[in-house]
Amino acid sequence: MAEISRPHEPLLSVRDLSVEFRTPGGPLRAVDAVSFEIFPGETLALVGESGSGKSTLARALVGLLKPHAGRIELDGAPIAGLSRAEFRPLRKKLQLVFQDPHASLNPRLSVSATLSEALMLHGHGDRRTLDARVCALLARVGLDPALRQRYPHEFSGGQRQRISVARALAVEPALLLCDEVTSALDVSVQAQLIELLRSLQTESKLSYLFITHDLGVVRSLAHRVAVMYLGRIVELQATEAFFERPQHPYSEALLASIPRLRAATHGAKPRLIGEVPSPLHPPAGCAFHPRCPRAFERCAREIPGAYAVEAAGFSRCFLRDPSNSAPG
Amino acid sequence: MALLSVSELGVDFVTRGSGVRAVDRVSFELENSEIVGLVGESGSGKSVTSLALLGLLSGTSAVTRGAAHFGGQDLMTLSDTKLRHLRGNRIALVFQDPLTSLNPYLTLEDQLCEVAEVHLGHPHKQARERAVELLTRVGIGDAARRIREYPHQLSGGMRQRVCIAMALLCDPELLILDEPTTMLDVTIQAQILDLLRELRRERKMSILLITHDLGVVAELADRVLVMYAGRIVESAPTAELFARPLHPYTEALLQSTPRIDLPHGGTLRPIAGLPPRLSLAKVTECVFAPRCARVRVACREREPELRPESASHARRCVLSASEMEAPIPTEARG
Ligand SMILES: Nc1ncnc2c1ncn2[C@@H]1O[C@H](COP(=O)(O)OP(=O)(O)OP(=O)(O)O)[C@@H](O)[C@H]1O
Ligand SMILES: Nc1ncnc2c1ncn2[C@@H]1O[C@H](COP(=O)(O)OP(=O)(O)OP(=O)(O)O)[C@@H](O)[C@H]1O
Ligand code: SF4
Ligand SMILES: [Mg+2]
Ligand SMILES: [Mg+2]
Repeated sequence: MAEISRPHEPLLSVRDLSVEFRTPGGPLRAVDAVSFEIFPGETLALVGESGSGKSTLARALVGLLKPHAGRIELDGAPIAGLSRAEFRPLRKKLQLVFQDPHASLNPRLSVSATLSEALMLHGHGDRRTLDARVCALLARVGLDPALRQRYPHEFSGGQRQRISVARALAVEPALLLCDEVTSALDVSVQAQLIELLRSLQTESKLSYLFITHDLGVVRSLAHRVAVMYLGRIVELQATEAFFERPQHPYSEALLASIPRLRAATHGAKPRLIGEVPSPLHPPAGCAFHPRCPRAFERCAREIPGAYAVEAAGFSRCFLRDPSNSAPG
Repeated sequence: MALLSVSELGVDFVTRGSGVRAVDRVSFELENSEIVGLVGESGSGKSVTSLALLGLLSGTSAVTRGAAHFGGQDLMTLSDTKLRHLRGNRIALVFQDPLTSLNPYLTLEDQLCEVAEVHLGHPHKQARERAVELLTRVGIGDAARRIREYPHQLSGGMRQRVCIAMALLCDPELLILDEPTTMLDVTIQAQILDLLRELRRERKMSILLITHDLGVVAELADRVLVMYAGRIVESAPTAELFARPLHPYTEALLQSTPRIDLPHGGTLRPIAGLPPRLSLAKVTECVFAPRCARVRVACREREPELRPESASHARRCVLSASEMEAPIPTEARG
């Protein structure tokens, strides 16, 4: 992937963002004081436990959920808490591809109509070239343009996923938020999509927030990785450093659990033990401590801060606290 | 006798004058307590195969051919009522899209307990206990409380796990999982894989596992079927398939996998060219020929049959096994 020279101004800046839901079991804090930046031309991968708040965070960033607290700035201008109408002009800059393709695709519109609509939103209103552009978009995501008059339900899961990506790309956003856009693709089509996203980034400085559970995709696409656990970012690091030297015990558990193609060790891998925690009753202290193989006495008592690790990253683990006196 | 045996299954969709041959002459067997992986290109017919087996394509323009037997019963000629009974009691399917099987207007408790009450005749309290237990086993924390929520209040991966729990409620003999772990992080995925292994061991459950995650297949499946353009192009025991793929599509697929162990994921090598067009016209060449790095004249003459290479390894390719061992001609690779 292209190296990025980090300019001073981030494209997106998020400070202490929290999102809460009301549920039958009480208030549920899905995103808890999250802060990060994304620079022009950068890919930030967002990984983490299922249910840790990744999709909620993405939906708050594009104005679909009202944050409970915190700031979001796009190109230096605050955008958190804008009304739908105020948000509309920003839709061209920020596009979210939903985890669930149903949410991006209108079942009553053919693929051609869906993509034409998105192209026109961007101002490509020229009728004569519209159809050619639709075909070009489909080919770029590896779909046969001859299928463009079909409706979403006539496609396979992975085909629908690519139509959603094509729709978002049609708008030519500055920041594309991708929520699990490669999960229904075979590895070859996935590699093709990764190549496409990389080349768009080189051509036009497109930035990505890339939510995925596929750590192989993370390694091939992302400049930096943020790891979420129970609503918080517990580690943020440059990609290579993350894979070589993870700085949080949850990240270590993640990397150790990746299934390998030539698995000699059927079922013999280390497992995270203990019940998966609930955001309705987050554990006191470090939220990971009931399952952490390295937890020590302080972990149940205090909430870890964001301790600096190499290359401008951080880890929310006491083992990285420079003033920590416990075993490391 | 095999628990499930499928022979020459075919599915066509006929819409607006044009036709799509989504599944073409698919045959395979699934034994008791066997786990078979079904992998292949996006759009190659994996989901349609499973839907056709369970009679779930009515309401679409599908025309189905072929035979499929489950425990001695012919699935293709069974009445809708009998099929529905089988699906609720002995066969369970987890759909690729969790939202298809969850009712948005009911809490998890209402929908899970209904399954346990109707199919197993459990009283509500017992049904609820079983539902909570299964939700906990699929990694939903605080399940006794969260069971009161509606599907939209859950994350994507939580919904996926609720569907797995729902499928397990009736303790099926055959479990068909269509992309069951796409929305799960690898630690929770590992927990689900452990659960499936245990069910296979203790309850003798058979599993047809459709997935793009070759790592999951490597960990779980005894045998793998590889689909391309509606056909099975290769089938082999798992370790053998990964170590020695004998079809160029399988080979190319394995080479496209990003390498988690290399900086920047290694070099990505997608298969060049567009996916095949699936029409109803007679096929006169190998369906992979237009994109195959090892293509030769013979590949264009007629479509190769699915031929056994050994007792457990079959493939649809004109090349011999030793020809597959030669290096891939470089000019053909983009
Ligand atoms: N509309 C809602 N109402 C109530 N709770 C919600 C709502 N949306 C999400 N949640 C809860 O917020 C938490 C975070 O959900 P989110 O969808 O952001 O997770 P995620 O990290 O995207 O998970 P996954 O990887 O499984 O998609 C979960 O506990 C979920 O149940
Ligand atoms: N209702 C339908 N009408 C017309 N064509 C359909 C219909 N459903 C599926 N198809 C086509 O049939 C083919 C097989 O689809 P299927 O959903 O089985 O693919 P798949 O192998 O499951 O792919 P994925 O991995 O992307 O989920 C695809 O080319 C798809 O476009
Ligand atoms: S702070 Fe303690 S419990 Fe939390 S991750 Fe670090 S060692 Fe484990
Ligand atoms: Mg999500
Ligand atoms: Mg499918």
